Amino acid sequence: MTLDTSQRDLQQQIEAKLQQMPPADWVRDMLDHYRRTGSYRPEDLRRLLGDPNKAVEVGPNVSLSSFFTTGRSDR
Amino acid sequence: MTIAACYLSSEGVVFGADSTTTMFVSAPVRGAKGMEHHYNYAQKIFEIGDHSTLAIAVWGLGNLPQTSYRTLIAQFADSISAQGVQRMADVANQWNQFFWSVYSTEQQQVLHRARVLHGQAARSREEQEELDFLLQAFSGGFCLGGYVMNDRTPSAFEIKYDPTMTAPAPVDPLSTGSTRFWGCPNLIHRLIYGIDFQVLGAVLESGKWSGSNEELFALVGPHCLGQPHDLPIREAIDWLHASIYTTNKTMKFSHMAPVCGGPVEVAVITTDRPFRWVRHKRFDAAIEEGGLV
Repeated sequence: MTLDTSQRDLQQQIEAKLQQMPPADWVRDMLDHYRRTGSYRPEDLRRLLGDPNKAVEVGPNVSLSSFFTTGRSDR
Repeated sequence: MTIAACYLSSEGVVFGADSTTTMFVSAPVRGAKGMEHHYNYAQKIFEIGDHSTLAIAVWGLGNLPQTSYRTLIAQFADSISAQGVQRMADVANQWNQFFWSVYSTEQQQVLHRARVLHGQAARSREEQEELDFLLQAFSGGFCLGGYVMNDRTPSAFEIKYDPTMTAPAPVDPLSTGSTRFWGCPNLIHRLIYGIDFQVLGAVLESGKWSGSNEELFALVGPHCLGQPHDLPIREAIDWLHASIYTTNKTMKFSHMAPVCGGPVEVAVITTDRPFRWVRHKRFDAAIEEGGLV
């Protein structure tokens, strides 16, 4: 897929903005904690990788909104 | 951590998992810190018995202090073989009870502490961190699937536990044509749905979103990928392998430690055959690391 000029400009602006943004406090804390202890805090693992106590379900009858209305896929 | 998955098809059950287990190795000198190590040749899928039509995938807690999953599952196989269990739901319920009795005995002190913290109306920051740690380190679950010989209808059940529970939770059946991911499911969640729960929650709680939840779903929804219903069994095998492989490699090429990785193991139980490995490590896999013999 080829991007036209306006799309390319927008993408570059977004990339530049993301690069200028300082890391969130929790990201800084996570990296600092890992450097000090050699392990991740439970809340960081949950935030970035997922809750180890809940499944994610993927299938033809599962929709994004059903996650919240029924809790079906976030077990 | 783990990425484990199960696909329930009308032709059978497919199990998949990565091979990384994270262990904290303490320093031998008092006061010196240890380090988490990621070992890439753990096994997370087990046949229940030998030439069996039942299998189990595990995630979460690496092992119990005194009894390995391998031993527990073999003991369970002996037990149900002697009883001649007739229904898959009974097999799942029996495993649930069997595991819980060992878990609640061997982890008695952990469960006691977690329940005390969980039951407190308010927790200090240290107490909350302790509870988070106990939940992260001592929770987990199993996916038990296959069929019983008098029926041959494939089914699979999710079985979960955590240290705040006082009794085993009810087992939860999977529906045909759906896949469930456990352990580290966010990456595949983002891939299929374009977003994950934590990001959705962060947007909704940011105070900068003035719309309703439904309006946010309406924005994200069209970016989700649709899913086929009841894949042919070899395609289901490919799907599970691809999703676990993707998670492993995403972790490898990220800024985080490779908490999922190693060989992707895949097993299948089709309704006309017993348990079969599709991809399985040899016992010398760790010796042959990197392909050198």
